[in-house]
Amino acid sequence: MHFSWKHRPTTSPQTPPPPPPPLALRWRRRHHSLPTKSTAVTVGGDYRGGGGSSTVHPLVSVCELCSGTVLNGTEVGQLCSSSAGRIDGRCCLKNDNTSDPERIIGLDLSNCSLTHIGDLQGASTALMVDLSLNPIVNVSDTAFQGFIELNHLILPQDIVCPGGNTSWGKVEVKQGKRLCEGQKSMCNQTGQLSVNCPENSLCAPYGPGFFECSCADNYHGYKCLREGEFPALQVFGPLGASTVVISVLLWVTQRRKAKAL
Amino acid sequence: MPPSCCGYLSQYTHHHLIAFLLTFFSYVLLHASRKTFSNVKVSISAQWTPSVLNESLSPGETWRDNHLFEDEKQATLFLGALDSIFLFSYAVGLYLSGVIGDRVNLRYVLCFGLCGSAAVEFVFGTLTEWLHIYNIYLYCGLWVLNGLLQSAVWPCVVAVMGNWFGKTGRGFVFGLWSACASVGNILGAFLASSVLKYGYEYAFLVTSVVQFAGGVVVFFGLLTSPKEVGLCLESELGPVETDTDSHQPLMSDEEDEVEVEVYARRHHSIQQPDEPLAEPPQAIGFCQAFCLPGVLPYSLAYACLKLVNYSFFFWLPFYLSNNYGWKEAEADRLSVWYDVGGIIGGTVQGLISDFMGKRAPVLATSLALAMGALVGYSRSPNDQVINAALLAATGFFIGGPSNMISSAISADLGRQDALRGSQEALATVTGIVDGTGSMGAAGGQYLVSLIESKLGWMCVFYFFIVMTGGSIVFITPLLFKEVRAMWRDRQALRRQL
Repeated sequence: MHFSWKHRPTTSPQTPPPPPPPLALRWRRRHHSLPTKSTAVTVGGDYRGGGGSSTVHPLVSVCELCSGTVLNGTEVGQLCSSSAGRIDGRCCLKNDNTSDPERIIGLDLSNCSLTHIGDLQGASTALMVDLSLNPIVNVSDTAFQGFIELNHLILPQDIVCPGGNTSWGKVEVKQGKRLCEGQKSMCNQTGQLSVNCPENSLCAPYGPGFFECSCADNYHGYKCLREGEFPALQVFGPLGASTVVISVLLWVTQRRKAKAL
Repeated sequence: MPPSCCGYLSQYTHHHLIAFLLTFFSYVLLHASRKTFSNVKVSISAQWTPSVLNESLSPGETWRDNHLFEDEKQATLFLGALDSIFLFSYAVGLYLSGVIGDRVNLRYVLCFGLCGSAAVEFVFGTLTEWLHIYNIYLYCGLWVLNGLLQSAVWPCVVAVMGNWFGKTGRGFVFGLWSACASVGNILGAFLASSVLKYGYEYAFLVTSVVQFAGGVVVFFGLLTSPKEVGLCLESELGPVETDTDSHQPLMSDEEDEVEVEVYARRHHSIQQPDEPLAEPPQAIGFCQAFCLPGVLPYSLAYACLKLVNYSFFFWLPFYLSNNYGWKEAEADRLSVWYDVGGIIGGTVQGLISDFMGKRAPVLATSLALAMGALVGYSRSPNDQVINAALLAATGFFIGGPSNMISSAISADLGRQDALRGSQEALATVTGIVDGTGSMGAAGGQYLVSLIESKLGWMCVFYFFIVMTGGSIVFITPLLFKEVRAMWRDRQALRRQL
């Protein structure tokens, strides 16, 4: 039930007036250990085609970041074959229903010589992302925002799992890779500050370490201030009818015989 | 109802009733949409600002995409500025539209004002929201336009009422009729609160559509003058003129001349019922209208009084929740008592002034009591019942005279005997009186916020008291004149006995 007049760029470069809030004001509770700077985007980019990157189809742009295809032996390759997906470049694509468009369920960017991870938004439907074997120095704060279904993330060993260890069910280091498994919801974590969404909205997971406040049932619009749908017909039908009736009635009784002054 | 010459109300036909109701509801709808704007301010400022939480929320399109203002305080300031802009352009518009109203058909001007302002409100509140255009310059421009268009309505409805209702019952009928602003406030509060949950744009949509419908009905149903149905001459206009036999004309003390003139005109009118068409340039000039006896003092008095009255309109709920810590809904509900007091005050005082045949003494008495009521109200204890009672009393003594000046007295002034030759002064005079009043009100909104922030609420009340005193000062010359005339009357009567 979102209100979608504007598509919002997830990173700040395009949001005009407000200066990017200081880190302490971010809604993230935990940060990556590495410094983040979303201007140094080398991966992904603005999927709306702004921000200097060329306008490419989101699927293509993420999947073609790196030459080669998903190999069968890798984790993503296994996922893809077990769930009967289709491999396209570095992605595994699948559609749940024949009517739905294909979506990315796995993204394998291992061994791609990536140094910066900026925005992977085109792949936010992925269940599994593999970034291992890259000399990564920088992962954007918001790189995994919106990755609701991400349950397996493979990173180089020295990169902390996004959202910190508490956002994951299991974190292990194996063969120079860090495996982050089982994304935990930010909303009902025990022993943590309860997430306070404003009135009329409910907390919902929004990627590792992220949450979003989506409008509660029947509420919608900016700040979820609007409730229900305006009964236009019930209001304007009688109003129009009575206007016509009264106008005719008054015309007949009052103005019909009126003389111009 | 067949017209008969005896009885207070029996002179009135169904045409009178319809004219009364149409003009009444025109202004009700106008004021309702004005009230809507003040009641949706909280929602609008929420729409214009990002959410203020120390952690900004996701998704941004729901929580922090709108940055017209950084916080609600700035939005509130802007909304206050919009109020002032509106009042100033309304005041300027009143000077102009009265002049126009006397020259163009009142029905067209009224219809244009209602429908035009409805359209502007639709664009302001609904269209900009649907299209997500948030721009302060656009808002300011639209609100200036709205003020100008709305200003066309008041002079026209008063002029139409002045055409239909003669001087005999004018105080009472106009007192009753001038409840329209207060009824509009109540209706506006009701409409706004019942559709606000769908979004503030629907509050604007509903009130503007209703107002537009009102304009259409007015266009098809309103008779601007009894002459349009050939009613005026003997029986219908009768009360206006025969009145001069029993009472003195309210605005003049040259009794003898009037009668002659009235009879002369009556005959004249019978022979030439289409007279006004033949002589349209008879409308009065703006400066000429300003110089009519009584116009300037009443305008200045009304400027002081409307300042106080509109300060209550705009600031009362805020004061109540600010000073007593009462909830906004409670404060809104309580502030209705001021309107109730105003309705009753206008009617009762109009009635008294009808029986006395004089308006200034009633006004002066009421205003003097209003100063007392203001002192009392400023010291009201933290108790809602007592506060409501004091509020109703204050409304009675301030809203009453205010209603009377803006309607009955404006009509008196526009129909006074100095004008015999040119009848079409009603809208112009009303425009001048109400325009000057609105100037005062517009300046007052700024002064009230200034005084409140620098010196506190108590000084605001002292300011109100001084302003009420000022309006007494301005009507003092008229008061002396009318009291002297009454004295002369009484002595003449005694001599006859």
